[in-house]
Amino acid sequence: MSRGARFVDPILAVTVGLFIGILVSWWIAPNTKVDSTPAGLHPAYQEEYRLLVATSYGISHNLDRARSRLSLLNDIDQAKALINLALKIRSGQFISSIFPAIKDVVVYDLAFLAYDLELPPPTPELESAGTSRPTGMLPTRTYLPFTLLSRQAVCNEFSRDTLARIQVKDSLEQQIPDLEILVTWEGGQQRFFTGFKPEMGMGYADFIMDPGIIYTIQIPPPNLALIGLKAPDCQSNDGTIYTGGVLLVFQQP
Amino acid sequence: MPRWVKFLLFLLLGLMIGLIYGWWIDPVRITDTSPWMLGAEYQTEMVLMVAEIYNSSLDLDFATNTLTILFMQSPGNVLDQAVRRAREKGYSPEDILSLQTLSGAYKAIFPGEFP
Repeated sequence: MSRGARFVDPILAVTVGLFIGILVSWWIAPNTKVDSTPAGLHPAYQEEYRLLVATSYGISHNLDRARSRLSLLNDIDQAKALINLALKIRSGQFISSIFPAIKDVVVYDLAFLAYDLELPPPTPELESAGTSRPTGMLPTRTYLPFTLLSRQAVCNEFSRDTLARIQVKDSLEQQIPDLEILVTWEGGQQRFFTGFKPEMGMGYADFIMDPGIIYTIQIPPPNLALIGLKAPDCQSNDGTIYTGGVLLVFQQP
Repeated sequence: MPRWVKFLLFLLLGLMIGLIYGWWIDPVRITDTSPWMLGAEYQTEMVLMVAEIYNSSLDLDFATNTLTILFMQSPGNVLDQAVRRAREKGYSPEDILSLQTLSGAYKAIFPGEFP
């Protein structure tokens, strides 16, 4: 036997054995006894899991536990994942099999868990003094009346949009997600919620105003009515008049 | 040593390496699973969440439907297993009580399921 041929047999045998071993361990008899974690769930079940965590949190207000449960999903941004789910539910992109008749409160729970997850943890000084608030009893849960903090025209010569941009904050300057806003005008009305454009802020919402129409904005409850809102006139550099948008900031006192 | 014996030994060596690699080093990863395929502790946690919701809403239909959809078996069995595991794993008395309350409510409505 030549020197080269002496190595051919072992290499060939090991390669064939390796191939058979991989074939058996991956396809014929895989080791499937590995316990699966929630991160391995099908995406639809992961959403159901988030719904359960948020709904449970809405009852227990145990933020540490909710955070711990969500951590099993290995989300990079837990709050964002919750808001995305709320948006998908609102837009009808996701229909839960365990909450088939999605109630507003479920979306509310998602939004508030997302909001609470984003809050800074209480400081040790506050804890030791016994003055820290239990989570879930934040002022945003009890709706205080809102006041219109500012109202300004938004004139963008390039986009020339007529958006009414609304920002809603609590008394701690934190933006409030999933807050229902009612807009009415002669012959129509529209309801929408803050937080559907997270890139603009969790307390942000907007709607397109038609030129010449007068709108009333209400934030329930208790209702604050901003009456007589109208798309403002703006002037471009060349002197032409166009319709612009507004920025409204509401805040709890 | 005959040539075929050497071949067979090397074949077995390759086979062992392949099996070790495929079973332990890089085993088949289970993805896109269903809740009933979760590890026992995670299943218990999900059942506990359903129990927490039940204890607030007292909506037994919701609880039983949810458990059936998630775990593809009788809610009674799921709850019994969850209570047992919660005890074994040292869950808090409140958690165990939550699970027992739902389990008790289910058994009261479906007594025939239990011997």
